[in-house]
Amino acid sequence: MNRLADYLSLHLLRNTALRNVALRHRLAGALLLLALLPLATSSLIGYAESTAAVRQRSGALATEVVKLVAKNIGLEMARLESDSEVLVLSDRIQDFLGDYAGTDEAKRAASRLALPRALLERYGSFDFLNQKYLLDRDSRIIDAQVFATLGDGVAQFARRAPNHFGRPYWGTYDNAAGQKSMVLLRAIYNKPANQLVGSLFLGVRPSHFAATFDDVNLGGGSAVFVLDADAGKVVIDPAERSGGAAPAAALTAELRRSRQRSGLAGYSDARQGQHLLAYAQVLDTSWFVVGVIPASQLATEAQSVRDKNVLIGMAALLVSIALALILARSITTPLASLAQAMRGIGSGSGGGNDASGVTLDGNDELTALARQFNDMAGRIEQHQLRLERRVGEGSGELAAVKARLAARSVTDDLTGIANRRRFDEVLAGELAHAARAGVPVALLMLDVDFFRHYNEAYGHRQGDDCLRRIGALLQSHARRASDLAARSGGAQFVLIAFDTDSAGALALGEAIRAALEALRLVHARSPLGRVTASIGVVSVVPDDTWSFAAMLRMADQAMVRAKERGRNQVVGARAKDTA
Amino acid sequence: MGKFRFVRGAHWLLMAAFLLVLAACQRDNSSAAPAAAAPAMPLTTITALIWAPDWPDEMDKVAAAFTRLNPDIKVDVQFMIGNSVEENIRPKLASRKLPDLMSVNPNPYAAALAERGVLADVGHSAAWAKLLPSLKADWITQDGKRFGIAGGVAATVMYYNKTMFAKAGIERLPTNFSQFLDVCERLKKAGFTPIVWNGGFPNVLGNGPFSFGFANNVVPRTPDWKARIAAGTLNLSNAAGADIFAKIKLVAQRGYAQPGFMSTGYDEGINLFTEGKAAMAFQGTWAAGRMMHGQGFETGLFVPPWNDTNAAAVPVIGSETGFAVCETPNKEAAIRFLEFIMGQGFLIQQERRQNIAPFVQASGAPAGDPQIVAYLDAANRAPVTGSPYYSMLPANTIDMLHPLMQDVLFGKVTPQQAAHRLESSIRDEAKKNHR
Repeated sequence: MNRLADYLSLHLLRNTALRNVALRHRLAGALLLLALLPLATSSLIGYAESTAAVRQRSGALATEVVKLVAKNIGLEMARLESDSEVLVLSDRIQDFLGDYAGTDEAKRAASRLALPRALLERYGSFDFLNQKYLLDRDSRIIDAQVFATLGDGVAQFARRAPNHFGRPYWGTYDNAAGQKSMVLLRAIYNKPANQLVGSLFLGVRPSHFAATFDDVNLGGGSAVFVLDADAGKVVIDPAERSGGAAPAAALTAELRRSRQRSGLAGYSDARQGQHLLAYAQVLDTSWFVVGVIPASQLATEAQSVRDKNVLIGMAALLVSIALALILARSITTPLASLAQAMRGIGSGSGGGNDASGVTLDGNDELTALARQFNDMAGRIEQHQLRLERRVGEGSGELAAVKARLAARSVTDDLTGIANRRRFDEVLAGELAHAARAGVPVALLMLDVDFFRHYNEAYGHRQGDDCLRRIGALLQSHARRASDLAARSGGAQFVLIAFDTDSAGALALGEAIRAALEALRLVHARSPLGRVTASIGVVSVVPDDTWSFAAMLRMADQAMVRAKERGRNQVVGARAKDTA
Repeated sequence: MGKFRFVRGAHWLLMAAFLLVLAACQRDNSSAAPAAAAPAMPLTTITALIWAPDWPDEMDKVAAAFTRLNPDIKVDVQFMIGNSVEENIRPKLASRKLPDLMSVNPNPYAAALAERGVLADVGHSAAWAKLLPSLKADWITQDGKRFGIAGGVAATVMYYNKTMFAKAGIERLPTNFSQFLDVCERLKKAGFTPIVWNGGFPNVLGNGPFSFGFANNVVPRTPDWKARIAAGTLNLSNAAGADIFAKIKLVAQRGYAQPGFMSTGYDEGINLFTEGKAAMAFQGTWAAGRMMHGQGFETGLFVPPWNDTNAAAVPVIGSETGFAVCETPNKEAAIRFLEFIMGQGFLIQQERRQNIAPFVQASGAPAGDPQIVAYLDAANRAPVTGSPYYSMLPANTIDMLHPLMQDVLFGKVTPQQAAHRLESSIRDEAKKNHR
C-alpha cells in the first residue's frame, strides 16, 4: 500500500504540472479538497432533501389548515342548524305552519302574514343572511310579496335537494346575477303528527364563512377556498374580494378522482402550472376546503433553505481554507527555512540566517531534521573557513596577476596606449556623456601613410618602433583626463577629445600632423621622404540618435579623403558623411 | 512563480464556482415562477336591504353592474320579506346592524329615522338634484333633512282588459263607485271575473281600495289630514271612515273578486290579470311593465272611481318606495351605489318595471308608457290628490292595517270596528312620538 502510494505520488506525477507547484500550495489544496468533499456531498444531499422536505412540510401544514378550516365551517353550520332548529320547533312556527297547511282561509291568511314576520323577528337582524324564507309543503315561499322569478328559483332548489331524512341540507344557490348563497334547507315536521308541513330556507353569504379563514395564509401565491365538487364551482373564495378566481375545473376533476375526505395531491393547471393541493371535506356536504400552493412557491422556499445551507457552507469553507493554510504553513515554513539555509550554504554565505542556524521548536520530524541540518551546516562552515584561509594565503599574488591581466585587456601591447576595446568603451561613454551635457565631442582618426612600404623597407622591428613613437606622440596630445589616444589596429590610431568643436578638432589634428612631420622620421619609399599621417576629423554634439559606429564611419571617410588628397594632411568630416 | 499564482487563484475560482453551482440550483425555476400578483385594490363591501318584490332579479343585476363599474365596491343585496318595508328595518335598527343602503318609504317612520341620525342626508347627490320637485317634499324632514330618493312616481290605477269590457258591452268607463259596481255586475254576468282582489297580500288592498277610500272619503273633507295623522287627531270613527273598509268588503261580498282571493298574493294577482282571468286590477304604475302587456288583449287604465256620485274621483299619487343611505362607515360607497341605482341602474330595472321615472325630463330617464304618462299628467292636474297609504300612515299602523283589512274581508271585524281601530292606532302612534 505504501509502495503504491509512493509510486503514485513520486513517479506517476513526476512529469505532471503538479510537481511544479509549491509544496505549501499542494498541501493547502489537499486539505481544501478534504474539506470540500464532505461539504459538496452534504450540499447535494441537502439540495435533494430540501425540496422534498419543504414539499412534505408544506403539504402537512396545508392539510392540517384545510382540515381546521373545514371543521370551523362545519361548526358554524352546526350553529346555524341548531339556531334554526329552535325556530322551526317553536310552538309559534309550528302553529302557523299548521294553520297555513289547513283549510281555514282566515287562518291561512293570518299565518301568511305572521310567518314572514316571525322569520324577521328571528333572523331580521342577521346581516349575513341573503335569503330567509319559510316554504310550504310544495316548496313554495310563504310570502305573498315574493314574485315568481325569485320564488321559482327557491322552489326548484328545495325540490332538487336530496332527501336528508329530516336532517338539514346544505347547498349552493345562485341568484340572477350569479351571486352565490350557502343555503341551509331544513324540513319542518309538525310535532304532534310528525308530518311535513314546510321547510326553512336560509341563504348565507359566502363571505360569512369566508370570514372564518380569510386570514389563513399558506404562503405567497397560495389560496384557500371552498369548492363544491358536485357543482364544480368555487363557492367561498376570500380572494374574490381582490378579483381572484380559483381554477375550479381542474380542481374538481382532482377531487372527484381522489374520492377521499381529506388528503394531499398535485394537479396541473394549464395557465398556472403545477400545484400542491390540500383538501378536506366539510362534513355532510359536497364542499371541500381546498388549499392550493403553487409549485413555484415550494421551489422558492426550498431555495431559501438552500441559500441558508450555502451560507453555512461558505462559512465552513472559509474556516477550512484558513485552517488548511495554517496547517500547510506549519509544514512548509520550516522547510522553506531549511531550503533558504541550504541556498546560503550553496552560495557560501553560511549555514543559516544567523549563527545559530535554523531554529525550530517542537518534537516533530522537521525539528529533528533542522537539528541534523544545523550540525551538518556547522561542519560545512568549518571546512569552508579552512578553505578560505588557504585561499587567502595566495590572494596577494593572485591580485597582482589579476591587475596585470586587467591592464592588458585594455592596452595595446605594441604602443602601450589604449587598445581598440578600451577605445570602444570610452567612445560610447563619451558620446552618452556629451549628449547629457550638450557639449561637442571630437574624434580624430590617424592613418600612417605608406606604412606597408615602411615595413618592407626597414623591417618590422623598426616599423614597430615607428608605431610606438607615433603612439607616444598621440598620447602627448591627449590634453584632458577624459581624452583618450588609442591604437585601433595596424597603422591606424584614434584620439577622442571631449568638449572640442570642429575648429578645435581640426587644429588638434593639424598639431599632431605637424608634430609627426617634425619628428623627421625618414621614409625612403614615401614620396614625401619621411613618415607622415593622414588625419580625418569629426566633431559632433551628439544626441540619443548618435552611435559611435556612425562617428567612426565619418572620421574614417574624412581620413580616406585626406589620403585621396595627397596624404599628410588633416581633413574634416562633411555633413553628408553621416548618411 | 507564474504557475504558483495560477494555482493559488484556481483555489478561489474552484470555491466560487462550487458556491455558484449550489446557489444556482433551482434558481431558474424560482425565477420562472409567475410574477407576484398585483397589489389588490382595497375593497369595500356594502350591504343593501332592498324592497323589490317585483324586480329582485333586476336588483341583483343592478348590484352586479355597479360592482363591474366600481371594482372597489362589492354589494351584498338582502331582499326584504314579509308585508312592509318597516318590519324589515326594525330588527336591523334594534340590533344596530344597519345596512349601508336600504329601501324606505317616504313616511313619518323614515323621516324619524333621518331626524335621529340613522339616515344620511342625500341632498348633495346628483340623484336628489334631478328628483321631481313635486316628489321632494315627501323626502324632507321637518328639520330639512333630505333622507331618500323616490324609486319612481307612484300612482295606483285601475288596469282593465279592453277586450273583456267590449265583450261585456261596457262602452263607458265608470266615473263613480256606483258606476263601478255596475261595470262589475255586467262583467260578472258576461262570465268574467270583474276584479282581482289581493286578500293574501293586503299591501295591494292598501295601495288600492284603502288608499282610494281614504283619498275620496277623508282627504277632500279634511285638508289638514296629514297634520292630524301626525297629531293623532284624525277622526275616522265615522261613516266616512267605515266606508273605506265597507267598499273593500262590498266588492268581495258581491262576488266580483276571483275565487280564493284571500290566498292571492302579489305575483298571483298580476298573473290573473295579464293572463286574462280577471277584467280589472288595482295595481301601481310601478308594475306597468307587466300590466300593460296582457296576453292577447289590450290594457287600458282609469282612475279608480271610489268617489260618490256627486263628487269627482280623487287620484292617488306620490313617491314610490325609495332608497336611503344609512349613517355607516360605508356611507360614501353607499351614496355611489345610490347614484348608480338612480342612474344606469334605473335603466336596468326599467326593462321589467317600466314605471315612471322620478326625475325631471331633462335627466334623460325614459318617459314610460304613454297611457301611464297621460294618466299621471291628468292626476297631477287634479285639484285634490291622495297619497299611497305606505307614505301617510305610521309604520305600526300599516302593520296593523294589513291583517285588519283581511279581518274585514273574513267578516271577523265590521267596517265600523275597523275604522275605529285605525283611528286608535293613529292616535296611539302619535302619542308614542310625542312622549
